[in-house]
Amino acid sequence: MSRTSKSVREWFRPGSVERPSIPPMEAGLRPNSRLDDSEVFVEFDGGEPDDIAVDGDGVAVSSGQTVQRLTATGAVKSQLDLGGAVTALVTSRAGDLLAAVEGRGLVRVRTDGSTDLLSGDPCLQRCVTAMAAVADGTFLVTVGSSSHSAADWARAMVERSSSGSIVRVTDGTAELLDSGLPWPAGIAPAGADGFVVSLSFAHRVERRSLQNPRAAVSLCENMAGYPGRLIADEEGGWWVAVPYARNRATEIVLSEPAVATEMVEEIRPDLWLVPCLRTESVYQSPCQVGQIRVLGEIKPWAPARSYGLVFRCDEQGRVLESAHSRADGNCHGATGLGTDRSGRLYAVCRGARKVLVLEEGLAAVSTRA
Amino acid sequence: MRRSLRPRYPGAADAFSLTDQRWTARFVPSRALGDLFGRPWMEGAVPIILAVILGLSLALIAPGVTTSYGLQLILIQFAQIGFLALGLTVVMVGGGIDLSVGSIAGASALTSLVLFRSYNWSPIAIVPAVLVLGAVLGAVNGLLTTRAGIRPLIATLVTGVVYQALIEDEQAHYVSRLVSLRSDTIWNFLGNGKVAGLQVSVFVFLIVLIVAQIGLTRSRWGWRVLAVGSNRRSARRNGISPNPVIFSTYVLSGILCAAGGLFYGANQQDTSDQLTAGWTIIALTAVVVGGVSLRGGRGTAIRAALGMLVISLLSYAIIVLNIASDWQMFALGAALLIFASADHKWGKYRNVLAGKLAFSPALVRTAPLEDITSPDSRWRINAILSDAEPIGLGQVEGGEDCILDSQGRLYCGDRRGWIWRFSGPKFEDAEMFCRTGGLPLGLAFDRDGNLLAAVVGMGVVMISPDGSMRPIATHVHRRSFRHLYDDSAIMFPDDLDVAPDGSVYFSEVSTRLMNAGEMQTEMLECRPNGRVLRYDPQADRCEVVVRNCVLPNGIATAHDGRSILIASTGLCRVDRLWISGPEQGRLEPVLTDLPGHIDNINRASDGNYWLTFVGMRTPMFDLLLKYPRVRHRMLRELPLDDWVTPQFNVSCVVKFSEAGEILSVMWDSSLEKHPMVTSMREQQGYLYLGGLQNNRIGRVLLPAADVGTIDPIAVPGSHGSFLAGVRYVAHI
Repeated sequence: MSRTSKSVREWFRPGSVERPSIPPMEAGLRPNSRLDDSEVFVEFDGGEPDDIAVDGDGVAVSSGQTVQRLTATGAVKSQLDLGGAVTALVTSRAGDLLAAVEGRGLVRVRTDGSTDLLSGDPCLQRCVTAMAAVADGTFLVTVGSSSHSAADWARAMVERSSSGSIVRVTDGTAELLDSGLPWPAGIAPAGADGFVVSLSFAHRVERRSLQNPRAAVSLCENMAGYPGRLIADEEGGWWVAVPYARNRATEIVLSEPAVATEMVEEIRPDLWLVPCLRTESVYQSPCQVGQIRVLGEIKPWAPARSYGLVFRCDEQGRVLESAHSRADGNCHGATGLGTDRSGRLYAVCRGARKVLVLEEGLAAVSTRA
Repeated sequence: MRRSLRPRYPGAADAFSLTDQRWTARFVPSRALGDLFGRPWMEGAVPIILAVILGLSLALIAPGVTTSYGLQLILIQFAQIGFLALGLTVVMVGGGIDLSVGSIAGASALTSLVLFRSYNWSPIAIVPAVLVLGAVLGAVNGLLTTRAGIRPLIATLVTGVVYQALIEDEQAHYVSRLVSLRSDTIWNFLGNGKVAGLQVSVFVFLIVLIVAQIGLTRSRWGWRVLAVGSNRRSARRNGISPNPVIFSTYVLSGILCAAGGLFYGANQQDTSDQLTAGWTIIALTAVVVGGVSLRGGRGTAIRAALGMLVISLLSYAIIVLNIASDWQMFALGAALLIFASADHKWGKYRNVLAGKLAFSPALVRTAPLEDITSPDSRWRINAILSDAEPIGLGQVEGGEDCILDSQGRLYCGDRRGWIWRFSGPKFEDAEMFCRTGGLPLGLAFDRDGNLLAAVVGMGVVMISPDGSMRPIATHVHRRSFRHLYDDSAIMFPDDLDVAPDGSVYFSEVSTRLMNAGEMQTEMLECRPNGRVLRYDPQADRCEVVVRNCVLPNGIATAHDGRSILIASTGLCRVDRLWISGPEQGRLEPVLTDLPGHIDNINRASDGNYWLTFVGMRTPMFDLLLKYPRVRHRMLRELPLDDWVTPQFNVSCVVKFSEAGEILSVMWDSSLEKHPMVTSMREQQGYLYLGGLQNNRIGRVLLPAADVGTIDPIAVPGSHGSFLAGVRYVAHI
């Protein structure tokens, strides 16, 4: 519908027209600098950490084509090249590590370092974004898009791709639970027979059941960021990693197909006006008025090109606590979350090439209050 | 009149062709409409346009309007009730309302007839007596509203009813004595005589109309009425005592009503007690149709007269078309409602609408952008500026430009309107040299050692060595009549330089900016709104030398003094304007399609020039420049902080030759110390860096090989004048 007819309709019935807007970060999402203040577990020199999983052998982090096992102090214990970009990690109920490898499928990595292919189903060979192990021993897998690779998040968004799917893997056999989704980017079990899934381009986290996986109940809607991977916490809620924050100027570009098309065709992807995990080179990257350095300072509340955010919500989707890294911080692009046996919460900031350990003290305070 | 001895400048050069747009892009219809709506005289436009349409259509449907009989009928009513409309206008402009105008006119008409017929008074005595009666009745209204503090609506409604009762009483008392038929030459002349082909009443009305128009819009009293009507409280705070002003409007209204009644009495010889029934509503409708605001403070006599003319036409049409007279009242009421609501909406939204229309981004097609981060680029990133030693760190807030005097003291601006002066071996002694009151941007020294500063909001000012300031260029000699927008004031001067003949050339980023905060709007609009001006110190006046520039910014006189270099921030190019010689007035390109948006330009000591980028071009902003509609959406829908801009967080200083060859590039790769360099100034082997948004002035040592023997700050061709005695020492 054209904007003119929208305006005319709005004149007569203001309630009938929806004007998309980005909600402010408030209440549980009130900005802080918790990510920047967190203890750095490990910082990568080369390569970017992406996802994290904790198995019997300790913490494993995916980076590029490798899975790296880390010691309790953050030193690299072993490194394993899986022959394709590792796009997601999960620990099975049996304690094995499962990796989604671009071009191969789901690969099981045993603690002794040996690997075998669990499933080479064509739908699992590309753009797997997250995995979760459920109680009956099967795995739930989200596939971001059927036509893009996992690294093409921005391109898929600009092209309005909506071809993601949710797949259930039982003993190596893939079963399609739902498809045609706007880049599902994270999945975690919910209760005995349900799961929650985050839909990146829809700015939404949904709750679904395994019996009827096409029916969805919205948990968080119209979020201020693009939700990514999530993990269940101990109290029945979830931790959600938000790798990208929404930007009003980007929303305008997305609503102007001519500009978006020309941007994709003419401009180098790292210079697009879209959220990113970090700014590699500032020299020719897009800028917004609020981002200008004034008297030596960058405003923390500047419109974000890259942003760091993880938050915890309860069963109803209320945000209980959050950890941020704002425009003046650098722990941006949180992609992975994991907890170890002692209850330590790890957050992978892919944009900052860091794995952080989040203090959970604040959570108890905020829930009691 | 002082005359310049030198020949006048040969007209302004037109830089529009540099924008590479078609000639149709010169016309911006929406903005022209916005300019039109923004004019003060447009405040009554909608009612007047509606009134003219209504009047014309009535003239077309009613037969015989142009016959002398028809015209006479229309004009007599126009004049008689027109007096009431004028009186009502005066009261309404003063913020009140007078609903007793009809009764005052009726009382005057009846009283004049009583005096004429029952008491046989001479018309010479009747006229002043009746006018005094009107003034007294009006004064009662005035006293009730000012002294007793009754709201004018209630006060005049009540007095209107009371005056009407008095008329009926008077009529009943004198009814038997009013039948005598007395004839008098003067009286008949007042009623039916003609002057210059017009009825006396019409003639007198036109004279009164002109006087009232001038009085209301051009006299001290009129301005006071307007001020009180617009905002009583602020009028009082500005030293106007509202009550006498309001009282005077009611008295004047009473006198005008009495005049209308007098002419009616003499003309109609009608002694009925209902003779002026309905005049109040007719006058009120006429005034509102003419666009006099019911809210006070807006309206003129001419507008009221125009409304009266339309209403007279309406009455005439109803009579001629044989429509029942009940419908006349209905038509009047309908017209009153429609015009009052149209006027209300227009008054409320006119400026909002003008503001919305005033902004119209232009289509700009930029040249392909080279990758400046590539290692083999001539713009290769380096860290030369990262080591700049800070001057005034934490003291300076936004020194756009900086300059040094003959004693080596450093001057720079500040966003709080100050000009700092730093002295001492390490520039550690800071003092406030001058408080300008605007935002100081470009700085230059003239040949006498006075500091010239381009101050946003003020124009170009001259600051003598003792720190006293005098504005020298605040207005152009003659405003441009190419558009409705008044561009005579110099609102946003940016950089300036002095030519060998003493004239000051300076750029004005845009004639449409009102304050520095709107700079980003101009960047997004990217339209040729700017100009380059020349201040002629001998004639003491300013003229435009280049018009239609897109964000003209840096100005530098060439080393030979025969041309000036002009930087365009919007188009990323430098052009040369010849200011003397056979090519005077001609523009020619020096540098084009640069990868950044240029700020200031200055001379270097080795015969070359420095320029700096305020920000770098980005592929994304270049793309948006091709989509004016999207930029317009961005401006309307997003808050300022979210607008997309060029990359203002990095910049570099560039040395280029007279021929436009890039010689060297200096970056701050730390991205923190000098993220946005807006100016550079070379002196004694050092390069000083200013930043509009920075908290310091920077100083870097230049390699000895790059330093020449020219003093870059002295006016070209004036060596040894202001720097007399100071030997210029090149850095060794």
